[in-house]
Amino acid sequence: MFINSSKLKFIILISVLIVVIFLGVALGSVHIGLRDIIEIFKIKIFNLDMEIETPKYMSIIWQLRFPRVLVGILSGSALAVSGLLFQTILKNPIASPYTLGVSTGASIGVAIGVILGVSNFMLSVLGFTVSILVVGFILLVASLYDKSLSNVSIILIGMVTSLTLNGFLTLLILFAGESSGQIIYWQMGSLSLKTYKNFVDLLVVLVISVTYISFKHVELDILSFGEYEAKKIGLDVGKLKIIIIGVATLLTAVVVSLNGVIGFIGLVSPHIARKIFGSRHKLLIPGSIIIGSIILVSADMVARTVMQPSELPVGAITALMGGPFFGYVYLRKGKK
Amino acid sequence: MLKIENMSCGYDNKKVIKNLSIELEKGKLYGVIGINGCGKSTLLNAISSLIKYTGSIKLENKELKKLKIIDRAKEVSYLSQSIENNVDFTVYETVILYRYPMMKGLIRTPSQEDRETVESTLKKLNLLEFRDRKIKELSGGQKQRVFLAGAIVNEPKILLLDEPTNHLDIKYQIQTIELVKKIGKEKNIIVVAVLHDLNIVMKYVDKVLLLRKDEKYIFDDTDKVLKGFDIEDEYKFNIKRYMEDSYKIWV
Repeated sequence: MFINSSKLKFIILISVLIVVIFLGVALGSVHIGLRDIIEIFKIKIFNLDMEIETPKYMSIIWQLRFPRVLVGILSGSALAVSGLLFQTILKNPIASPYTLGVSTGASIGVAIGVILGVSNFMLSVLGFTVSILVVGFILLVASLYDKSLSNVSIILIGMVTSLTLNGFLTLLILFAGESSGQIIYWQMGSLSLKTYKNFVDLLVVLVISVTYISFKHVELDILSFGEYEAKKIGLDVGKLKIIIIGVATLLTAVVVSLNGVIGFIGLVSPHIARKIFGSRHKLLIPGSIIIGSIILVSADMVARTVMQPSELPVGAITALMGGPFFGYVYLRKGKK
Repeated sequence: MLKIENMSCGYDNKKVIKNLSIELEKGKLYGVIGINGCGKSTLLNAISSLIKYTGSIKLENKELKKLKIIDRAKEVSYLSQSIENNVDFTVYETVILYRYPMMKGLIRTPSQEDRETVESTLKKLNLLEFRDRKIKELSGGQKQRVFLAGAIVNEPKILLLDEPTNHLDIKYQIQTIELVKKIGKEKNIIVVAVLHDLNIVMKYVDKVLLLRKDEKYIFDDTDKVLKGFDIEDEYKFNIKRYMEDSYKIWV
């Protein structure tokens, strides 16, 4: 019965995701009907002859919205899985992909890039590189300071480093002068102007990472009992911790360097997944992935439609929705 | 046989146990006693290689600290006092995770054999009726049995127990210690338990290690240690008189 009920939950969640995907493609500055969308997909997927009649909105759907939704799905998935991993590995329910300064690192990389005037692609590369360097630095300092690499040390040094780097980032924004707006806007996160190339890049990283951590679902379950107990059960906790933090950092760094900072998805999605599926990572990993996708694609839909014709940064929407939601979940729990 | 030779260990440069040399045999229940802070839990931590030690601890001529973590976990199980049990796992899901060291393959996942061992362990500890209950919903005594099931499900050669009767009512205390003793005999494994209740020690334990400051530990038959002079001196308390007085109240 247990297996059946979680299967049913997955079927429901996937149906919700499909509806959200259709809405994501349909809604925007122009609303496009379901029939037109299906028509366009038929033409594209079955390679029908284009000479007959090109439906309206072909390029809006195929060149703008569909890749945007696809990138949204993968970005939401990556942030959610990354959040799940950080929460499990640090055994901290409010850990998120940003606890170890991934976002601050990426922001600094992008700020430097903007000041130097590099291309958009190089901005992503810089953002990615600096965020990985920051997490590496935090782990290195934490391991020098505390050989057992305890969670408290990691979180503490992560926070201290993030705070310091945030000060540095403020200075960079100041020095950027006229281009400071570009840095600030980037920090708000956006899914606009995404391409199929972005989708494929994300897909490769996501598939490799998720395949790897799916192999580790038993180990992640064992970590739920705490590090000390996990060691007794036979886990090489130190090694596992570094590998998992590496994978989680990679996932977030790729998403952030591509889209800017999109908050709360990494924090909230694993919590919702836990409420629905319990503590076993065999279910939590796919669960978080679907929930993260649903949240990001819907948040992006809101970002595009709520203030038409202008578009809001999706990072602001996720924060606006996520903060109160999280408060609600926790305060309700405390009431019991 | 577990052979501990000139073993010293402790925390942050402070040696709690110094030059301990004892030999433990299979199938026997050993009790570790002593005043608070004498190093009882530290000893168990050292045997399970969770902390560093100097000297040697050899199980059938294998130095435990040289084993990989996973190989050590196959040989030694350790049921400590407090285990994070606020997780959302069921009894079955919890116990099968403790089978981890025996799981096979590059990606360690439970095999049919692993699942069968979990079922038979649950049956042995009368936990089958709780199989699909969440552990956080169980009582203290039931939880203790779940984690005891976890400690034996990997079929270890050494079972370490840190105050296994703590927080249990008297019936469960006796049940637990009898069960532990039975498991040790049946599986022919070494069982080492840190115990505070000297009545339980007296009644069930085969041999006692009394840990004391500086190398003056005593390791002997239960009767000899408990009725000997040293224990009164160590606890700074007339234990025998206290026991006799309580007995008088009861009869």
